[in-house]
Amino acid sequence: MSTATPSVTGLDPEALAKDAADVLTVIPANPGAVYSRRAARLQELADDTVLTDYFGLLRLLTRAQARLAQTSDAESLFGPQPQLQLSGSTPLSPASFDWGNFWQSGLQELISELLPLVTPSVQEVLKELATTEPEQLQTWATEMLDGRFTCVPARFSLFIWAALSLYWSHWAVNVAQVQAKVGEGHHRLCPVCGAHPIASVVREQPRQGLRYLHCSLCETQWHRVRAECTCCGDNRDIHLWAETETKAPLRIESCGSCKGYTKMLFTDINPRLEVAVDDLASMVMDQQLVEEGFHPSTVNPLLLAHEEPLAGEEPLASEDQKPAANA
Amino acid sequence: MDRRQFFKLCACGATTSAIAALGMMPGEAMAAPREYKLLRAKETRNNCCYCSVGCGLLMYSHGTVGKNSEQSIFHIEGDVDNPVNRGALCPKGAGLVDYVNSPNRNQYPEVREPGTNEWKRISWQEAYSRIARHMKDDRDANLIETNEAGTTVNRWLTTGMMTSSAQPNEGGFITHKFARATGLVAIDTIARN
Repeated sequence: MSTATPSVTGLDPEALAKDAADVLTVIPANPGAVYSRRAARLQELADDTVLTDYFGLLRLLTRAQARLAQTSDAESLFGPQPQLQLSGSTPLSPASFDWGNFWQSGLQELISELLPLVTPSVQEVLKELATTEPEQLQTWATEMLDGRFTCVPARFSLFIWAALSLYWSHWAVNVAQVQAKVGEGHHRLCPVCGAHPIASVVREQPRQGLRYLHCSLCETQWHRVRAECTCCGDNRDIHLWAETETKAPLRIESCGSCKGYTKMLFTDINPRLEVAVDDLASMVMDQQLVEEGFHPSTVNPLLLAHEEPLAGEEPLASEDQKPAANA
Repeated sequence: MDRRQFFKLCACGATTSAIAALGMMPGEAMAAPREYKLLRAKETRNNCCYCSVGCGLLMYSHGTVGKNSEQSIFHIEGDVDNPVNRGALCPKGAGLVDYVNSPNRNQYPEVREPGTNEWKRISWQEAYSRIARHMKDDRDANLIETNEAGTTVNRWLTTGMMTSSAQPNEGGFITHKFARATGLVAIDTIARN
């Protein structure tokens, strides 16, 4: 046995070991590209959906996000670089740094981009939102970032989250790049900002079949081992639900232990899939899981469904909002 | 926000979302047609037991609804998260699902007596007794107790042992101890097949 001879087969033990350890645990986003891709996918699916008007609005919104994410004047839109504790976990979680109210200038920009393009009824909503007191906007933003979507009027939540996402994704890039070098893994929530994922994305690159969770707030993707619940980590009662036995591009992974589920998008099978759009467009799949007693453990920024209180907790929703939820 | 929450998401959940609040719920129902039904498969992580590399596998099976229902594996693929095989499988591993469902699989002990060409089903008890009888007879006849110099060696060269490659360390240890205690020299695992 010789250890010094160069490998002729390509099976150099040291190189193999290094390669095996090199699972990219965090993939930083390019926000402009993410939003452009989202807008393009909304366009592609426009003819297939029953939510035609809504998809049209989302396309305008994501296009505006894409334009603003690529702005040349980032300083006036996103403010000065926030002070971050990069060594801590989730450096960009709302509780970890002073996020100020620069996201509101993004919101105003989004509104002014959208106003000339939308229907009169949406214009009314946008004007109302544009003239809302900054303190009120700040309160709503805090509620949403804490996961209390029921506390924010549903007609505003989409736009507020879009502006927050624009702000967070801008500052997340550098944080995610630092975290990618550290290589820590196995998070339930986004390692950059602590938000819920939108869904699992099974990728072609860096290694075919690896599962990444896509953040609903900062668009970062992080690695998560497959065949494990993304919510509670249990692996004893994992089921996949799909329209076909194999090669289904959309599947739902459910956990019998916590009764949570996460949608999986196999971009190695269908590269056109976009995480937020295709999750929204396949809501019909969710219905069966909900009927079977499972609950989504994910947040879609294009839907922002209301949260349910955990067992034993007081309901977060005020009573007058409840009947609508059960209707 | 350091906790998991569940979200109301389905056609009825959409009524609490921006879609309804912005007046954009479609006229036609968003509910799935009655015949729309997703297939359900259990996903299990395991290791390939056909060689000592022990590649990681993801296995997909049906029929886990009732406790007594038969489980059937219909698809096996390499576990991409496994640091050893990283999702890849060798030709033997790629054919695993066909071994599992093969009609030619051995499911019980059989014996083909000398001079016949027929396989006869026997019980596990009979199988163990026969194996033990053969081993004892062969060892009694052929055990080499000492070498030319008179040193005790206790070699048993006329029988070999093929063991499982899918054992943990403890299983491998006890298998090895058993075989060496009888004097067996030729021990190998099915990893060499």
